[in-house]
Amino acid sequence: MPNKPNVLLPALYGGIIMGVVSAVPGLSILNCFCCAGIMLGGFMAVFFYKKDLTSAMPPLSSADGVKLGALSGLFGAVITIILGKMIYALMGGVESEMILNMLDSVGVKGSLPPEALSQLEQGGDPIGFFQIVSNFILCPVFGLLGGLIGYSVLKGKQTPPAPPLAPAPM
Amino acid sequence: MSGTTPGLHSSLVRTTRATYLAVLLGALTWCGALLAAPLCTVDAAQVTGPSRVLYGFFHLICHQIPERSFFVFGQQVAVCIRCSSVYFAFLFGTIIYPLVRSVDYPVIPHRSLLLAAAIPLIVDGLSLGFLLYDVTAISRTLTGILFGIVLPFYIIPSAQQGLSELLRSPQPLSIHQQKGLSDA
Repeated sequence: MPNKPNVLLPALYGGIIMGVVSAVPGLSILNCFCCAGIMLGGFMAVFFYKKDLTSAMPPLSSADGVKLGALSGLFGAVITIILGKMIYALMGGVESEMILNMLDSVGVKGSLPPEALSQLEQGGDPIGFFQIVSNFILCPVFGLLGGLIGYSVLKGKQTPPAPPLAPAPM
Repeated sequence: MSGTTPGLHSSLVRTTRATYLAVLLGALTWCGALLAAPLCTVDAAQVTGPSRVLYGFFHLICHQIPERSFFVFGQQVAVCIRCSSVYFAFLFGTIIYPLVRSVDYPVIPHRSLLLAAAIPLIVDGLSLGFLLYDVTAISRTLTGILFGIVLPFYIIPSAQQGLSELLRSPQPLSIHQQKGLSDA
């Protein structure tokens, strides 16, 4: 039976999706739905991995889901930081402006806490030390959840486990 | 688990139980942090110390608009109503999980249940953007709870199976080992 494909490449693809969704202004709003953008990266890593599996290979396992989700989260954290820095260097605080405009159009800008409002108006570098640490917590955790959801949705038919073997009499 | 030695079987059971406890502990910590942010706030006008860190952390994953947030003792919870509903329902689902499913023998339900629980949440979320209907706090709460309560029934068994597979010996068991006999 041929070996399973390497998990690194699908995890990298998932990490790229995670990084793009988290760092690109406008798209990052998706993460406001319980980190949906990050979970999407973990899910897509499983999807790409499953596409590489042939019928001769062992089927997708939950261990693959765990590995792919966590790895894509690590890749995603790095890509989010690099991409976020690049976008800020090229475009400045575009994201803060977009959020302020959106809040203004919904009519809730005035009710934001003063600190949050001043933070948005200053439009500072979105990737500071605190954000880097937070990204390395959030991306692997939610990536792992995305990978597990991906396995649950994309796996084939599962045979229910048989009842446990009774211990042998002493 | 049929065809495994009692030693291996008890090791698998230990792994599945530890995984369940890890998920429960993680959910408790997460929900605790959501509530700690408002509870640690001493002065509503100026958020400082641990509250500031917690609000800052959760700001990365939620808009924190006050009109769309729950309040505890007059202070805003660290995430919006929809996110709070999902997270607290996930915690509730994790707590009741052993009453509904066996913790020791993980079985993942059919994906249709997960999709059925996710669709109302997605429709409710998209309705805001496309103004399909008036999204209220009640619709955000109910759709969030529905999705959040179903999620542990997929996450816990997948994580249990995954970690059991990762921790298990990569070498397949011989017939003798499967029968509980020594190869020697």
